[in-house]
Amino acid sequence: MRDNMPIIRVEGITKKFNDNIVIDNISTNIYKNDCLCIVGPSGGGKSTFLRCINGLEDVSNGKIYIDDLDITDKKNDINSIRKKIGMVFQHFNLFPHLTILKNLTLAPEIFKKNNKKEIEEKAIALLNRVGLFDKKDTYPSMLSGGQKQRVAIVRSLMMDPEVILFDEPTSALDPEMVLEVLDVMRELASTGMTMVVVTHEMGFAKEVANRVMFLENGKFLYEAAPDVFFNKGENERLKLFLSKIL
Amino acid sequence: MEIFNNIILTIKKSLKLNLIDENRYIYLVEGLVNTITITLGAMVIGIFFGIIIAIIRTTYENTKKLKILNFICSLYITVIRGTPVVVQLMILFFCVFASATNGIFVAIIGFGLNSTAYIAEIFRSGLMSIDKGQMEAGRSLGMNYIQTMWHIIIPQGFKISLPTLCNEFIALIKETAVAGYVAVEDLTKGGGIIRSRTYAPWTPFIIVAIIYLIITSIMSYFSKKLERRLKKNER
Repeated sequence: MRDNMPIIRVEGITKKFNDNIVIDNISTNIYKNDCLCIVGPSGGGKSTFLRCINGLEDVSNGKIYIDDLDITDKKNDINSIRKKIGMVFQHFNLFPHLTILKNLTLAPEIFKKNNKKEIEEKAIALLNRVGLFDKKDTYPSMLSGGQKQRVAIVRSLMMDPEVILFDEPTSALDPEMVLEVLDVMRELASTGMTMVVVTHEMGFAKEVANRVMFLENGKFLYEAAPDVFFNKGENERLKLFLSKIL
Repeated sequence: MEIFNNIILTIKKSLKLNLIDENRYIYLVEGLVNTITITLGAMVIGIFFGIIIAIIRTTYENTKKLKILNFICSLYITVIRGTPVVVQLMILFFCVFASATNGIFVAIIGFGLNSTAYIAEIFRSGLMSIDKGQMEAGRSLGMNYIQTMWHIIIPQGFKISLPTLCNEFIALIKETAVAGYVAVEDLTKGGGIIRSRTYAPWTPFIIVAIIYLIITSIMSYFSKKLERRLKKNER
């Protein structure tokens, strides 16, 4: 069905905090241009799963390959692998001591991706794209939550990642700001950016995702295309979950 | 009215005796210079080693690496904070640098090593107070631990620590008053010398106290100003 190689291969990962199993033997592949949404009840291991993918959490068992490099192998350079994986956090995690522009240019400048001028031009072009050009010289504290999250998305784009991980990107936002962030994500998906999104926004999952995954109690219970997932998903736990939230 | 005039006259006389006669004010001026020299020197040493120790301790707490270095650092902090600075100073002067003739040099080292321990703890709590998400954001962009510390965690932690650091310096300048124990003629000792010449204890020590008060007031004025400016910039 797919002729391309997966960007990310997750092979039977398990994550334990002491004796508490948070991720229970999950395997999946993520392909180029995928927009994979991960949904499920809170505390079900969705965020932990996402954080395992870029090595923010060590897995207890199993393997994760990114472009055929095993990131669970300590011998591989996790830092150079992470440059290919963007991450957008629930609480934005912008750098409060730096201006918006500097937030965007810091990492590319450290890695000398381009010369300083080109990096800045790129940052400004991206800020224009998300409608925040006029904020470039302000500090994160002066932005609204929605604006912060748009900057955070741009920050991850600055590294030209192959895939961006979104960890509940709209959960910390006031309702009226959710849309502006989802719009940016929708646009990203339409350009073919590979995305893995942990979210409670079922509308977004329905409309934008090409795959939706259901996680509960650390177990990968069900996956389908969104129209199947939300209408005729054949899983008792999923039906119960959907009946509570839709 | 006559009583008032008498008081003024007495003060004038006493000031003349303690400051003007035989140029006794020189003891205070030289003492003040020494006090400031010791404080500044100790500050430089304290900040330099304090940052290093704080980074070692934070790194250990975050990653469990540098276990042995962390042990040495925390032992150092325990010993320094658990013993009087006068005792430390005397050990340095009479034992470690027993052949030293320059008391000021020994005092700078002594107070420097002492405030290192306090400054290290100030920086450490500053660094530890930075949200974990900052480290994660830096690492997720591909920066390594050191790059993230340097560009993201340390600037923020330093900023948070600044007001407490100013208090430490105010405490330090007052602490240097014990430097007289190791034959350093600092401001306090200068007052003592004048007293031993004039047998008038009130005037020299009140003057010494006022000088300390002026210096610490200036420092705390700037520290408050700094604090307000930092608050305005963020949040």
